[in-house]
Amino acid sequence: MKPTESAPASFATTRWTLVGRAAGNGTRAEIALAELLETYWPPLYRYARRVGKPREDAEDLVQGFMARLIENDALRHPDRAKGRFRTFLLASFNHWMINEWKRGAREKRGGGASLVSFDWQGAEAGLIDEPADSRSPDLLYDREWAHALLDATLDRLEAVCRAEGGELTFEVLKPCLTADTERISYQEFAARLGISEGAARVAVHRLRKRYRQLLREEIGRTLVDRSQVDEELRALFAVLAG
Amino acid sequence: MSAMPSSHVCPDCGAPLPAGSPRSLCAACLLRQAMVSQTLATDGKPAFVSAPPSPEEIAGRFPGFEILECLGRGGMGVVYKARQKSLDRVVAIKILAPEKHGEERFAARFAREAATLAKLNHPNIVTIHDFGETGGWFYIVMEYVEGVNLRDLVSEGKLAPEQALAIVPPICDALQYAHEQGVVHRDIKPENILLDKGGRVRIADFGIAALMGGSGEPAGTPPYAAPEQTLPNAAADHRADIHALGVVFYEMLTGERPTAEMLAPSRRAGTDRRLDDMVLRAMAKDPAERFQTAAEFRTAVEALEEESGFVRERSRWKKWAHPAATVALLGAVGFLLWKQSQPAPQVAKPATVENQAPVDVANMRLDDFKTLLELKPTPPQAEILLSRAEKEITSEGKRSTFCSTVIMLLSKNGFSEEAWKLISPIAGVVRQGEISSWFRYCELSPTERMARIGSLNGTEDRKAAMYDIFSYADADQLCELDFNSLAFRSPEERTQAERSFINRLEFTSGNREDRSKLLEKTVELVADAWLNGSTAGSIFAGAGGSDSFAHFDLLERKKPDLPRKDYEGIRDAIIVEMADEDPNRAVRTLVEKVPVKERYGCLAKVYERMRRDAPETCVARIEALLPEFDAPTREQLRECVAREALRAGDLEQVREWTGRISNEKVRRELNESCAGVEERRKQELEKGILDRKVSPDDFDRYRPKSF
Repeated sequence: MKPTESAPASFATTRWTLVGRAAGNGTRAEIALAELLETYWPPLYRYARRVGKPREDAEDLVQGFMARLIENDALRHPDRAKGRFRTFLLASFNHWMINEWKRGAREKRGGGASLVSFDWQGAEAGLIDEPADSRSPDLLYDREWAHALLDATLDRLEAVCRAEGGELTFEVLKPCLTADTERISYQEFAARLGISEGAARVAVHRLRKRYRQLLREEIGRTLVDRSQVDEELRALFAVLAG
Repeated sequence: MSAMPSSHVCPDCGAPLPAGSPRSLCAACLLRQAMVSQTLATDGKPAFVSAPPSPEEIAGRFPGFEILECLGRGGMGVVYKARQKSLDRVVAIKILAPEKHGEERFAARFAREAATLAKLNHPNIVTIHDFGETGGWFYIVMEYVEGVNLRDLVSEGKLAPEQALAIVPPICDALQYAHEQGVVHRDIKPENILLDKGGRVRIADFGIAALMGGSGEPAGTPPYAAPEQTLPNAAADHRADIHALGVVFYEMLTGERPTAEMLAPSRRAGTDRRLDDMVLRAMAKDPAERFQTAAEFRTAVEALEEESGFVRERSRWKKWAHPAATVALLGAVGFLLWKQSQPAPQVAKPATVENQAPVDVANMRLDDFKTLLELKPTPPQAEILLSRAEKEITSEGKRSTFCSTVIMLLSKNGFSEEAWKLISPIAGVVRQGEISSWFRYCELSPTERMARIGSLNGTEDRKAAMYDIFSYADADQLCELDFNSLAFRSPEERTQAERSFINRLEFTSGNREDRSKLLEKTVELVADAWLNGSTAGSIFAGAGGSDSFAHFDLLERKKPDLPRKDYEGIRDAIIVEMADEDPNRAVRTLVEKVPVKERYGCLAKVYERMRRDAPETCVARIEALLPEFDAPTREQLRECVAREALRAGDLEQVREWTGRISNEKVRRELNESCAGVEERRKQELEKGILDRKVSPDDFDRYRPKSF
């Protein structure tokens, strides 16, 4: 269970490729997909809310969609949307909202979707008080996707640190993850962690390195072709910085 | 209308942080930091294979720097000239050749060795300011040396023997110093020997060859590399540097690199035959036949100098700038400048003091550095030259060089005071910051220079001069300085001075005696309220654990002079350092010296170190110490072990030690924390099973015993 610095075995193939290849092959693909959805359903839910669906409808929509996705491999076409799970998910979801949903799939809650745990309350957070935002729901979906991605990455990073007994290290050093190297005050961190400045440098360096590795892995999970990691990274950055 | 917490902004890009930002970090900056590393792709493609990246490309990776130009590319990487915005200083950034970037182990080795190299602090070694990794590129930020390298000089033809003889001793000094620190250069060659504008010899790229090559791999550049260096897994030691210096020496004397059928320098170039022995001995194939240390090499060179009268002058401050080197090389630098301005240069006669003729300074050519260097200016002559320079030399760079040369020559001619007086009036006509280099070479002690900072008006000049004093004075000189004589004009200036001083302390490597002197000075500065206790504490914390008991004695001696809070700051830092050396003694000292109520924070840090160094035995160690102490101390130690175990997630140990704590409140709190952690784990495990992330087998394996 303990994530290690060397890439986990699961990354021999990306998760999303696994979903596609294993289509019709039962549990393996299902689990792979459920793992992805676990991380990335909240942006979808918030998207549904933003395009005007009431709470209950949005919940039903997302859960129904995910159940169908997991159960019905015919829906999975990873090559759609240039092999990106992010765009695929949104496109399919839109398709689902327009067609399947009309056919009264409301009662289809449950099923395969039980592989994923939903925290509707959490996903709702801040939506109601949200200031009027002129940006399109699509753009906000991408933005929240990036947040979900980073959340998952940082969770894993913290887990890695914790496994090494460095919970405090992670807590103290995490501001370094956003800072340019020359802005980092090693002296301060050294003092806070009670280690030498040299040791702080090494700790920061390792944390940043691992963070990058884990982030790239996490992005890789959502792509058919891992060589597109940089492209996807740039695309997400453009969304956030724009 | 907005629920967005507007008070939260990203400290890095300044954008507001929306609610739901991952871990309250700015998502855009998180991605940006990951993007700069995209060249460290998993497929390990090198970032640049043929053309080095342009300054524009580099700029994105070094937002703290303004990249000015690409200075060149060598086997080890590409070097850029840049301005560091925060300190407003010009530096050189070396981006190491990318072939290594994909290597897992390289990052660790880089961090370790670069830290060692950054500690080298010697006037004849190019200082490393910083190092790190950005965008998957490993880089070193170092002092920018404006001047020429020895390759440039040698390619002009051989050097006069006295020039060559002047260059060798400072290199020996630097090598000796580095070798004593356990650092071997491994790639001494003319390209790595720089001559700065003040004529000082500087060695660049110390240890980089070893860093890039890794131990056991052949390193060095033929023909400078010693025979033993070219073998794989060879045991090349510091004597490889002596071999390389011998080759450089040969090349300086003859203008050629030695070949297989090498002729002795005297036969090749007609030099003094006594030089032959020296050069050939340094270049001996068998390391055992060479000079065994750089210091020995230096002594041999100096003995010859004195014997043959190659050099007639000695400076009081020869430690900083070898006078012969200064004059000879300024001559060389000046000669190059002069050559550049002369389409058809004549071959100048070697400069000697004897053939000096009276010079008409009012009419001499200002681009005639040869004549200038032969001149021993008097104050009136210098004044004429400086005022002419102001009017006649339009190029800022040339004017600066000219003026600094005049000032330096005047100072060398025994007119330090007068030279000093001339600096301020003309400060406006030379580049900001330039004055510091005059400062360094004027024949004044650091104390005298410190006293004169007040008469400098340019902010940059003041800053550079301060930096200079701290960086180039030795420990004794630093200790003699009267810091309170520095009248700061702004709080920034004060911070700047403090930072320079701290840097100096941090990088005072190797010599224990120097370090303890400087730490003593640090305590004095705290007593004088020049430094505060927490800054001093961090200095002591950075001083390493090997002398912490001596540091503590020092602090105790000075205790009566120190404000209580400052004393405590330093004391705690030292005690934590002690834990590295002797944890038991650290705990005992702590108990003895620190009142029980103020003890906990420091104790926790000490124990954390113990745990880090020896996780298996740290608990037993505390257990063994317990009987020595009174009840409140025992209680504190138990609490410390319990809390640390909680932090590390060892609940069993938390329970065990909590049970031994008698304070009800603490016990309850620890038990509650324990329960909280268990609950969280339980939830995580359950969630893990639902998500099929944990197999039932794993579940059993990871289930806490009390679950």
